[in-house]
Amino acid sequence: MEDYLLDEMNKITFRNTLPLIFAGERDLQSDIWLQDFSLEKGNNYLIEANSGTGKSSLCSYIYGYRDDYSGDIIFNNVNIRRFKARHWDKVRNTEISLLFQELCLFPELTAFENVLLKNNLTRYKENRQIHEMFDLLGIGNKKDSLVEKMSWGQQQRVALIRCLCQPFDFLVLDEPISHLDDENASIAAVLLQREASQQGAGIIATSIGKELPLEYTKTFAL
Amino acid sequence: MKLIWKLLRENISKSQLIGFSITSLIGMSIVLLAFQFYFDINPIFSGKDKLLKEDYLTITKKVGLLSGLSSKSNGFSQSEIDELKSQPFIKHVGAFTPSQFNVFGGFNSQKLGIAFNTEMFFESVPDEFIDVVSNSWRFSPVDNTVPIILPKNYLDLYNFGFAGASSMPQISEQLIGLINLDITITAKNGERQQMKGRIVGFSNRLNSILVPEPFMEWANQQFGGGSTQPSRLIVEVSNIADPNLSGYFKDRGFEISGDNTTASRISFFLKIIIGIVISVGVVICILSFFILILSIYLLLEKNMNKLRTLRLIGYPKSAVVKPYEWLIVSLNLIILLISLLITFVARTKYQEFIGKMFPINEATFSIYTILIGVGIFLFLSVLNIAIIRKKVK
Repeated sequence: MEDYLLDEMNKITFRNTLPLIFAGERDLQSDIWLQDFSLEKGNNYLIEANSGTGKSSLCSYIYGYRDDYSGDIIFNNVNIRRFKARHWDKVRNTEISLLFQELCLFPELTAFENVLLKNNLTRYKENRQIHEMFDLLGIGNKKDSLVEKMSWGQQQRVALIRCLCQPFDFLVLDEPISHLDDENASIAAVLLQREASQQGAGIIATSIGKELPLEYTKTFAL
Repeated sequence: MKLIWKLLRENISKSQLIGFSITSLIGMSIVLLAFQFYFDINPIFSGKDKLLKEDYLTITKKVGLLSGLSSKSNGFSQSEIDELKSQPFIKHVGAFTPSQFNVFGGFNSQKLGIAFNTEMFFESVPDEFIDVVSNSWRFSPVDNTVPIILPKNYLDLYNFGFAGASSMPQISEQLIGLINLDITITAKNGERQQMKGRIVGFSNRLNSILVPEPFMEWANQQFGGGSTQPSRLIVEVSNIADPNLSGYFKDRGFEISGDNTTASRISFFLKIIIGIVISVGVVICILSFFILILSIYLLLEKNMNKLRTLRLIGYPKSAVVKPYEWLIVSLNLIILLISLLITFVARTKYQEFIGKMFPINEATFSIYTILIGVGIFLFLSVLNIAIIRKKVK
């Protein structure tokens, strides 16, 4: 367990996992729930879902803030039910980066401060690199705006920059481009793929129709 | 850290914190001041100070209407003496040994033309209780001279009462030491022995005609008849102001000569009063603590979403609770310092007043007061931190 904290994470394995809320459903057709499979580092996975099929639940399970499921989820070879708070702190800082569907930005801070809040913790990017990402995603002029004054699409890009400000083995993106136009979506896709490739990381993206334009190793229907 | 503070300081209610600070300050000041006052005033009542120094008490059993008529001895049994010895506030117990023979003392000087004779008695106590230092205070059966110690107030009675009224010369202690007394001891069986007596000193502590213990043992064996229980005891107490002391003697019907236990009673009431004041201070402290906790709970509750999000983007718990811990610890520290200052200032005020009546040690601002203050500060801070950490998941 302690050793685990030193390792990088290569594999996320699901074993017969099912959100408790689906426990009584008989005709469940899913590539993920109640299946045995692994997600490997370095590959891209797309999870396609209709709403209400447990997409955000999946993200919350592997990010460690909910555990209302049956079956097991295993990082490398350690069952994550055994993780304590400090293990999750480590996971969230160095192994998994999550783009929350609800973004989880602080509306009372500016866009740049929101990103800094994460980067101050990890010291992963230099300020220059952060500025470049803002410019690349077309919100360079919004850096000092309060997040509460920004549109959802703009906020989505701020959250995206924030989730790149840390080392990771898996980048989990919960509907990353739901409010972006196609042009911005492809710019974001290029940026995300570049960062993931640099780290040799895997990308797990979810979608309810509008998918992040990447080359996927495998597509799951949730 | 700056960004976190910017996020988390929102919703901090200044009025609540000010309310807490004021009540806490009042409570803390009362507690510290009461302790400091106690430390200042206590030496006055404890035996350490000269003011009430009276470490020796002479105790007797009450002489009642019937006990005077009955022939039963009114003395102390060995078990009563042992029980006394085992009390925590008693250091030593010594028995007065009475003489079991008749003594006739006289002084005849043909040169001065003075002659007087009187019937008298002897008592002895262990040497360690005697407050007169004299080389002559010893006896062996081959000597024919008995050293005697008289109460100081006998001499005073003579010099300032009798001598003046009857135109007799006043006598100094040195002069008396030169006088030889004729002592006649008469045993129960009629046997007589003539001896010389010399007064070697006057005692402030012991109100009796004292002879050395070895003499008494020898004489009682020689002329007395059997042993009797001592009817008077002398006790050395460790602290005259001990509140248990007067109660203990009272319960057993012992009388203390020249009742010196007033200090004991005053000190008892003083402790009760200071105890009440400290309790009031502690209650105020507890109330203020609840205000703080409620205020912090409210603050945490209002900011719970932010705290949760911070935890989700990877901030460890210790980092997100740190601003609140700092806030509380520094607030408590400021309150501690101000209340110590208040205590110090108030102390200089009451010292002027008390100093007129009692000599108190002006220099020492008690280290214990500071330690108690720091102790309360640490206790409250640790409790606060524990509660915050428990609240934030």
